[in-house]
Order: sequence, then structure tokens, then C-alpha cells
Amino acid sequence: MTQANILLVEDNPADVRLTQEVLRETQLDFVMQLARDGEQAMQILRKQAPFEDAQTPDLVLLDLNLPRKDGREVLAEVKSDPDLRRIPVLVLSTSKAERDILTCYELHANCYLTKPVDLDQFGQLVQTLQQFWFGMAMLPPKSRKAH
Amino acid sequence: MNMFDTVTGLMPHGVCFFYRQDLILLHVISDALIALAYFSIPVTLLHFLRKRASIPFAHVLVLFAAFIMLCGFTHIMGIWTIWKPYYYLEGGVKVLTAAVSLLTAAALVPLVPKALAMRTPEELEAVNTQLREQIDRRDEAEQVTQQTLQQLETSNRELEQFAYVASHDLQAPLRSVKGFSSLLGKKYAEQLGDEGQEYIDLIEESAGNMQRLIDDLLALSRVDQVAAEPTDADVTETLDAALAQLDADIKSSGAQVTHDELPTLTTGHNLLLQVFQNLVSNGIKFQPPGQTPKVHISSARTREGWEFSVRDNGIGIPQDKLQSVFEIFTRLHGQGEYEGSGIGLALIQRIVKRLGGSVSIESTQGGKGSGTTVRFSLPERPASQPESAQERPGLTTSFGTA
Repeated sequence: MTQANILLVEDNPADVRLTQEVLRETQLDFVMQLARDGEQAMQILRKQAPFEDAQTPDLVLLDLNLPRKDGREVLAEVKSDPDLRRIPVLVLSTSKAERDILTCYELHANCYLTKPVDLDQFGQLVQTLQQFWFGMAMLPPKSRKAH
Repeated sequence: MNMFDTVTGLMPHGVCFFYRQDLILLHVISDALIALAYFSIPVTLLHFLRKRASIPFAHVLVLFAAFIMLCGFTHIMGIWTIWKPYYYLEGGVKVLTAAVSLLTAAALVPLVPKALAMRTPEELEAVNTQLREQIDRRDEAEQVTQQTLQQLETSNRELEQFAYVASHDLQAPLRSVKGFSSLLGKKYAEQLGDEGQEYIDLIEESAGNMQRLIDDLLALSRVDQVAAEPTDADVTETLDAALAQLDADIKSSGAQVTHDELPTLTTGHNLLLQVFQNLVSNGIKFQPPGQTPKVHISSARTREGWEFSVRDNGIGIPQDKLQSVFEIFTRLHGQGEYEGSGIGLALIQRIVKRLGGSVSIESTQGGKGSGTTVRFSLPERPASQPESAQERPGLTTSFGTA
């Protein structure tokens, strides 16, 4: 399989590092693009300056509480943009509040996950994600026009 | 000659006046005017009575109207008898008038003290003013209550916000601490040596304690905000769901959790689940080393509803500490001996209270009969929901509990 491209939208550097470490433990061949806030995430997805060379990701891992533009806004923008809305967006948050879960699904999140505190559990979660999204699930083509 | 003349056989009144035109005119006009006035008075009175409900002494007014009306008729008769000698008829009308006027006079007498007791318009005005002042004072009090309510709502929202921040922002750094210490332990095990590994274990243990504390605090702060729609369900199922969440603890400790037949009950089962989970967890946790934990759940019918009890064979609680265990952060053991945040029983008490029941605890220590029994009652009908929960139905959250 070709290299998987993952866009991680996360402002906490420690969480970024942990996610990278855990992803490395899996068998997945991946490149990770990183957005430190919601605005960057939108610039990367829309290939706007200074991210003209950005790749369209196969999957977005989205934190909810972000500086400048918060995760819910990113989700709403992505899912209302005809060019972006097919990209699977997985919300990865610490919040277990039903309010957040409901909001995200109503904004058409493809999945809502809570970040486990335990590293092993986090490892398992990422492993399962890899198996499901890059093993079982069929992902849409990168461009809207069918090949 | 008509029949009335035959009855009396007398001459009409006009004869007495010698049919002098001026005399007859004088009498006829004045009698007619009096009759007109007398007829108009009861008409006005009856009109007034019809238009206005609840007039005091209305029956006397009706009598008075009849009396005046009859007086009018006597004057009509006076005119008529100038030409026609209907003296019996005239007399009859007078008898009727006399009867009604006597009745009216008699009805008036007992009315006097009652009428005197009635408030004068001035008195009514004074009472009115007093009432208005009272209303003003109530309005002011109402305003103060509204303000207090608003302040309460604000502080409630702030508390909710705090709980949210606690769940998200406090856990993020904690996850880093745990994650990296465990990465360190895995990747650099050789370089760390035994002492280094011990430090790492201590970091992870502390982080675990903090995690429990955050989870429990969160659960406690949200008891009143979690939606607890009363549903009709078998308590056995609720208990099984609680035990499923404790599966790992039950298996690792080899605990024997048993229960009697449990009833079907209308209550907030999502909250009841938390109660069972905490109580069973306590029963498994607070055990002397090496002993197989035994926890038994039973129920009994009471007059108000049901009483449930959760009995364990654990280390028990000293008698002098039984009062304080329901207070938040009460811990009876060092962190190294038994893990716990000191929130569990406070949480249970708060939940049971919200469900409309009460909790009690008894315990014996040492020897074979050692153990703790926590009893809690639940009402037959679910307790009415606090408003906060009704206003925010979207806050059902499942919490991890220690």
C-alpha cells in the first residue's frame, strides 16, 4: 500500500510527540503533517500560503480545544467545503462531555475518540485506527474527479 | 255600568271634586307624576342590580323596588277612581303595598348592624394602600430572589465550566507525564537501572492517583447536572452493567460478587450504576492482604420503596470514623496502603440524595465478622428532578471511577 498521509491538528507539543511515537510503533508507513492550530489546519487543507506545497491528507486527526480557530470550527469548515468534506476527520479529544460528542457528530465528524491517559491504551487505539482506516476502510480518491 | 260599579255601588271620586276641572287636573297630574317617578325608580334599581354582580343586601333592594312599584300603582288607582269607583281594587292594591312595605321595613332592621360593619370608602382606600405597599414589598423581594437566582445560575455555569476545564486541561499535562515516563521506562530501561525504574514507577503511580482524583471530582461536580431520566428497569441489569465495568478488578482480585433477587424499579439507572460500581469497588479494594473479597448485594421492600444493601468482608471502618466517611476527601488509609481519592462515598451520598433516598453505613472490625455494609434507600416514585438537570439535558456523561 502507498504511504499514508495523516494531518494531525494538535497544539500540545507533548501530545504531538506521543502520537508520533505511538504511530511509529504500528506497521503503518506514514507521513505526518502537523498543524498547531485551526487556522494552520485550514491553510494546509486548502494549500494556502505558507503551505502551498502541502499534500491532501488521507485522514485528519483533530483535537477540539485549539488556539485561534477551535476544532469545532475546523470541522464545520471542512465538512461544508465540497473539496474537503470527503476527507475522513477523526476527532481526538480528552473531553467525554456528551455536548462535545453530539456537536462533533452533528458537524459530520467521521468518528469521535477520547484520548486515553494510559500510553498502552493509546497505543492500542492508534493500532486499531491504523487497522481500520488503512486496512479495512476504503478511502476516497484524493481528487474529486474519479480516475 | 260595569262589574266594579256593581260591587261597590258607590260614586266615583270625581263626584267629591264636583268634577271641577282644576281640582281634577291638579290631582291627576300630580298622581301621574308621582307614579311615573315611582315606576322609574325600580326600573333603575333592577337595571343596576342586573349590571353589577355581588351587591350587598340585594334582596332588600328587590323588596324596595317592589314596594315603590306598588306605591306607584296606588297613585294610578287614585287617578282611576276619580272616574270609576273601583274602591275594592284600590284597597287591594293598598293591602299589597302595605304588606310589601312592612316586609321591606322588617328586612331593613337586621341590616343596620351589618351595614354599619361595612367598610366606608375611606377605610377601603386605606386597606387598598396597605395592600399596594405589601405588593410593592413582594415585588422587591421577588426581584432580589431573581437576582440571587441569576447569580446562582452564573456560578453553576462557572462550576460546569470548571468541571470541563478539569476534564480537559488538567488531563492533558497528566497524559504527557504518564506517557513520557512510560516511554522512558520502555526505551531506556537499561540505562535507567533499578533506581531509575523505581522513580518511573513512582511518577506513574502519582499520575494514576491524580487521574483518579480528577475523574472522581468530575463525577462529583456533575451529579446534579447529569441527566437522570427515571426509567423502568431491572436493578439486576444495572448491577450487571456496573460489574462489567469492574471486570478487570474482579478478575485480578478473584472477588466473589453475589446478589439476591433484585426488583424492577423506576429511577435514574445511570446514576444507580455509579453507586453500585463505587460500592462494589470499595468492597473489593479495602481487603486485608491475601483474602478473597466477597461482596453481596441484597434488597428489601420498605414502606417508602426499597432498601438496598452492599455488604463486604473487608477490613471495616472504626466506629468513630463512621460519621465522617461520607465527607469529601476523607481517607482512612495512607496512599501506599489502599488507593482511593476519598470521594467515592461522598459521590454515593450525593447521587442517592438526588435519587430521593438516603445512605447509612455500619461496620465491624477484626475477627471473622469483619466487614462493612452500606445501605441506601430509593423511593417507590422517582424524586422530582432539580431544575438544573432539566435545563441541561445534554450533559449525560459517563465517568471513570476509582
